[in-house]
Amino acid sequence: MNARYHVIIVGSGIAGLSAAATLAGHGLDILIIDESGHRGGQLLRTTRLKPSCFPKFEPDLMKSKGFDLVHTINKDPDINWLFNAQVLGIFKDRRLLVHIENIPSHGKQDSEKIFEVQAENLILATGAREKYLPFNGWTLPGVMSLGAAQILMKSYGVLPAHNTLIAGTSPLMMVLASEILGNRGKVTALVDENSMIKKLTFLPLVKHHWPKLLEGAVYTSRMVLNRVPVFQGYRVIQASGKKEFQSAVIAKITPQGDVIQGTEARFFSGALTVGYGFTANIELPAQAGCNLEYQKDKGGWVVQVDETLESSCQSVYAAGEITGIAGAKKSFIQGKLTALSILKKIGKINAGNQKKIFPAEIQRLLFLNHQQTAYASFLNRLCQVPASAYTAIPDETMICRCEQITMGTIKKNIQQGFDTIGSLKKATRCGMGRCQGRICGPVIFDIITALTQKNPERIGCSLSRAPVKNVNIKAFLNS
Amino acid sequence: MPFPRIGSTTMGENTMGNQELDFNQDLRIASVQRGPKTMLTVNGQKILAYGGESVHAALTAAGIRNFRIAKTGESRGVLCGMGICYECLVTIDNIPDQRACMTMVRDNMEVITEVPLFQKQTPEENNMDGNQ
Repeated sequence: MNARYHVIIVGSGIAGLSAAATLAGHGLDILIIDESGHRGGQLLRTTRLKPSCFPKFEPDLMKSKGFDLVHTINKDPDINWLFNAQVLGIFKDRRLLVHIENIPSHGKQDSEKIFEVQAENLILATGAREKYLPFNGWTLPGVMSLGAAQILMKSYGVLPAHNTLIAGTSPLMMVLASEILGNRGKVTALVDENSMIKKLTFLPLVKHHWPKLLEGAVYTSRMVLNRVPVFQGYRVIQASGKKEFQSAVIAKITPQGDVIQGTEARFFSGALTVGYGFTANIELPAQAGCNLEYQKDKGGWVVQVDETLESSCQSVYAAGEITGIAGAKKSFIQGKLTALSILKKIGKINAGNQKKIFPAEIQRLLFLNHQQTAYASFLNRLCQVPASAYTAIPDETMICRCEQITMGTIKKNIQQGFDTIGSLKKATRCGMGRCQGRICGPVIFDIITALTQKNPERIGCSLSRAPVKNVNIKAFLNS
Repeated sequence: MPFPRIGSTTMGENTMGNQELDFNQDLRIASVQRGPKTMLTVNGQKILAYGGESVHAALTAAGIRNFRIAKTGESRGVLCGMGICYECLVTIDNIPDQRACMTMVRDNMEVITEVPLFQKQTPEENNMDGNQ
């Protein structure tokens, strides 16, 4: 480990990988830090198949592209990797406080430690997480995000349950259903909040992403072949079970998002997976002092960047989902773009014919990056639920899962005037638990918006301070 | 579009889905090449796991979903599965509050959840919790 690197990349998802691949071969010291133990982030997960099995058909083009990327840069001597490590904070002159977690190969218990490393240029590619719409019983074990179920299957080859109920607004629902069926699991039903009519109105926004529609068709055909009941314009309103999830109640909703009484139906299932789209992981850039902006069609609060993808902090770049949720293709383009911006700035592109093609390449990438905006608004509008869905959350429903703050408490405090994220947090402790508002933060933001109709800047974004992730005090003592 | 229409027969108090679950069937996908076999101790009981699996995956395959008890006493399990929500905290090899979704299994690992394991549920308990 050096004390200083030319470029440090936080996150080894598609954006981080494509940035690293572009930077490699220019004689720079590059360090990639990732919280997990594998390369590729959330999208690029795979299990090895038994030699007797046929390779699976992969309709997502970006995934195969991503796996190629992992393969090519895996052995690049310029690139150093740091896994199972969290960046706890970013301080003046891009000094990073890094926490290395307990890694079994390092011995027994005391491998946990903390150290500092400095970056001349920093690329933040921290990705995104899922959003939720709370309902009664969403805290029961067995109710999980779509991503959690996918990770179980894609990384570890374990089905989430014998039969799985899938609900939400996210395009991941189709992917998950298809994966469960492809692995001989059962899908109880797919409960899609968006009605067919609503989905069709968003269709013109797909534009250059029409291959995504084919991908969707592949998933749909698999569901039809397996006779999975598909409910469009329905929402899960309750999950029940003694200690664990056993059944869920779904109900039809109006286009305005109100539940139609008398349309309830109960489904018994082994697991319930829910997902209401994605939001950017902005905690680390926020702690670093990067300016954020609220863009509903980009998934909420995102990092503000200029054309070179530099944030408001000097030499701190942001790439991928944290500049706006738009999927893997945009992350791939932005990874490349940040890398080229850095190479241009430090004058590493004078060698050979690269000088000629360089400005053209940047122009091409900027154009491609711009093209993604339409698809991004398609993706995010598809996932959004109407304001009435938030105002209709019953008072007893848990909102902040860590600190156990219910909708009733939150509503009462908002009415008393604690109607910004910051003041509500101080009044109720919501978002002060272990997840630091990563799960409830976006939900609470939407609840305040729905109840007060205040503008996003006034509601604000949760403050984030170092350490941005939980860390044992022992890690400090070991260092 | 080829989506099945919803008939009125499936609505109301009718229920769908498989109510009788076969818990002996393995949740591990047959076509996946697994790492070396290993044993985990979960609250004193041995469960089978394979190298390369996360604690979350191994526990799910063993039918364990209750990982911890929240402040008000209700049980909790995995929500996000990617290290963000901190709902899957378990004690691993005497270190408390480890994320089951981010920790890989290793030989002779000892996991302690806050929920008693393999509780036999009585038929009454198996029914709805009375919310409806």
